[in-house]
This record gives sequence, C-alpha cells and structure tokens, in this order.
Amino acid sequence: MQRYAWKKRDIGITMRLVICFAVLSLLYLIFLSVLAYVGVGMVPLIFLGVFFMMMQYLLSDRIVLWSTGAKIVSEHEYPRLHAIVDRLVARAGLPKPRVAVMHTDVPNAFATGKGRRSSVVAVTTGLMRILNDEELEGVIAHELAHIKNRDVLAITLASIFSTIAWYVMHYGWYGAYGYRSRDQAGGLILAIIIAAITWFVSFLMIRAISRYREYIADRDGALLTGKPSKLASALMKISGMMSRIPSRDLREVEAMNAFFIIPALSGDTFSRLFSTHPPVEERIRRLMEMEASMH
Amino acid sequence: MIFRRRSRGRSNDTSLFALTQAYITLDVRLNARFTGHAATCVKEATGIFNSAVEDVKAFLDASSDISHRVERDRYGYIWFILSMDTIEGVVAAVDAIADTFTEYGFKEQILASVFAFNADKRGRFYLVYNHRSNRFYPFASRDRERDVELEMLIYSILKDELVLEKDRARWYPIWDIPF
Repeated sequence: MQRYAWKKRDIGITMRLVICFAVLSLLYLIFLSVLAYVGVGMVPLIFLGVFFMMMQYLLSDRIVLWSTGAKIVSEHEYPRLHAIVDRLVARAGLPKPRVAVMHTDVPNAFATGKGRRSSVVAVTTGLMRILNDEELEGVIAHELAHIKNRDVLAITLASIFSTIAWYVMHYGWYGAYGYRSRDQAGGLILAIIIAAITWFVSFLMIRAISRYREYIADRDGALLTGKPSKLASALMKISGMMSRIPSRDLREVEAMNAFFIIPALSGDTFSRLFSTHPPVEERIRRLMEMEASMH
Repeated sequence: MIFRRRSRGRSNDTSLFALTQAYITLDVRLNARFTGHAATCVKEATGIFNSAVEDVKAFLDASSDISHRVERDRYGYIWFILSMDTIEGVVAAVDAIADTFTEYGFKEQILASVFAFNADKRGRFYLVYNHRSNRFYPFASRDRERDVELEMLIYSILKDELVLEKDRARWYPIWDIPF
C-alpha cells in the first residue's frame, strides 16, 4: 500500500499541471479558431496568439503555484532548505529564487519562473523527509539547472512555434478548399477538429523537448554538485526503485528459485509518449555513467 | 590427481574468466584491489554430495599455492573459502570447484561464488557470480545497510567488461559473508 501510494499521487501533481496548461492552450486555440472563422485577419490573429502565449509565460509561476498548491516559505520556516539553495546559487552564479513548499507526502520538486530573476523552486515535504542533505541538494541543483537553462522560456517558445505551425496549416487548408463556399457550421467544426489535432501533435512534440531538457538538467545539476550519484540515488528513492532492491538474503530466497523469477515488464511506449520526464531508469543510468567517468 | 579435468569446453567459462581482466579496471578507476579472498558457496546435500566435497578438498589440499578453509553456515550452505595472491589462480580454482559439483550432478546446489575487493575510502565490496545465469552483480554494505550507490558505481564501471545482472531486483545480498 505504502509502496504504491507515491505513484498515484505523483501522477496527481503532474496531471494537475499538464491538464491546467493543456486546457488553457486548448481554450485559446478554440477561441482563436472562432475568431478566424468569424473573419478576423491573419496578422491580428498571430498577434493575439503571441499575446496569449506571453501572458501564459508571464503568469506561469502563479499558475503553477496555484495549481500545485505550493506556498512560498521563508528562511525562518525552512532553514535547511534555504541553506541548500543558498549554497547552490552561490556556486552557480544565479540570483536566489523564491523557495516554495508543498505539503504532501509525495516526494517531488519543480522549478518555474519567467527568467533567472523571478524563479521559484518548490519541493514537497515528502521529498525533504525521504532524502538526505546531499540527495536533496542533487534534486535542487537539477531544478536550478532548469532555471539556468531557461527551460520555461524554451517550452513557451516551442509552444509559440507550434501555434504558428497551426496557423500555417489552418490557412493552408482554407486556401486549398476555399471555406467561404462551404457549409458554414461544418467549416467551424472542421476548423476546431484541425486545431485540436495540431494542438495534440505539438503537445507530444513539447513533451519530447521537455524530456530532452530533463536529461540536460540532470547533467548540469550533477555538474553543479559534482555528485551525479547523489541525484541518481535521490531518483531511486523518489521513484520507489530503492524499495525494489532486495534486502532478503540470497540463501533465504534461493529456496524460491530467485534467479528464475521473471519480473513483470513495466512501462510502455504509450505512456512514455505523454511523459514530460524520461524513464527514471535511463536517467539513473546516465548519471551513474557520469559518476563512473569521474573515477 | 583426483580432481577431474573437464572433458569439454563450456561457453560460460568466459564470463567467469573475464574477471581476470576486469579487476584491472577496478584498480585503475575505483582504486579497488582484489583482497586475495574468494569463496564458492554450495547448498549441502547427502550421499554422493560428500564425495564431491571430498574431491574438492583433495584438489584444494593438493594445490600448494591456495590456502583454504571450509565453513558451514546456519542456512545449510558449505563455503569453500580460498586465499591466493593472484586473481587468476582464484578464478581457476572457483571454476574447478564448480566443475566438480557439476560433474557430480550438483550444479543446482551451487549458490554463488563471491570475490572480495577493497576500495580506497569506500571499503569492502563483493562481486557475486551466479553459476547458473553466468552473471556477476556487485554487493556492498555498511552496517547491514546496502551501499546502493557504490554498487551502481561498480556496475557502471564494469558493465562493458563483465556479464552483469541487469535486473537490480535480483541483486540479492549475502549478509555475513565469512571473509
């Protein structure tokens, strides 16, 4: 029971974020397609689209804090957490981000913000409970790497490009078929369907970019602490992988033919496609390789 | 000579003998040295099994460069604990012990062979060899707590040199290894 608890609620936090931004994006795409259908010109539409994106970007930290329930905390309330952040930003040459805490047992962390100056690093109380200082430092360094690499901006830019791609496709379609002569209601539905499909494809692409930047943040975070294996061990604890390492003696389990048990395969490509994070196993492998290369 | 040379070559030999190269990598990259101690652990049986044990003992007694002792643990396993300067000699002896039990029909009784190393600063760790899957895995512990980080580091360092067990769920500890 305890072992699987993290899984469900972890998906909860990520899903809240994903759904929040997905609904927002879908809403303004539908709004824009309605405007386009009504006859607003292409140039004002692009301006509007970029405007929405900018708003989402500028308000991103507030949206994130609101949808995850993270609260900004002072140095007084969480001295250990602030001390770790202080140490790392000094080394990374970053301005200190605001520090937030989510009250949940699910071990998790995230960073958000418009740029290096107005960022937020948030961790859950569950994360602070299960990780030791070095592991917590590894996780926070990973989040700071996101801030340093301006990953929120990168993802927003990717979203803007996907919106532009959507417009090109949208107008290309009408150019080819001449929608003025078509049945009006059918045209609107078609426009919305195309918008949804385009949005969905770009959504998957943004996930892919996000997964790639996750590896980069792992690497840069590990470079910052100089201890890749600490982040690897934090990832093992967060993902519950640590509990899969057996502690029962080989001689005890041998009676059950331990070596012949074939473990159930886990994880499929379908869920990977939607995931913003690469498989933990692969991240740990890369981190440990980095650690090994330091020896 | 009582000890029987095997009559035919077996493919799994290579994965065990790869240790005679891999230990150099451990030395270079982890500053870890073979302690000179290794053991093969076999589940005790009755009848003809005792003849196999006698064969192994006779072979070990006859090998002047190997010192050995035999111990029994509370799980009902018999440990052939070997000490020797060179890892090549230890690996050959372990292979010979496994061969003897295999020839008597007790391959399934062999639990594993264990090789002890000492790493600078990080201390003792073991490479455990499973004679059935022909794979190694690392085992390191401090005060009955597994040192997973060290194990994963050893895994990363050795993965191109040894056939290693990829599934960490099968890295069963062997607590209280008697050497």
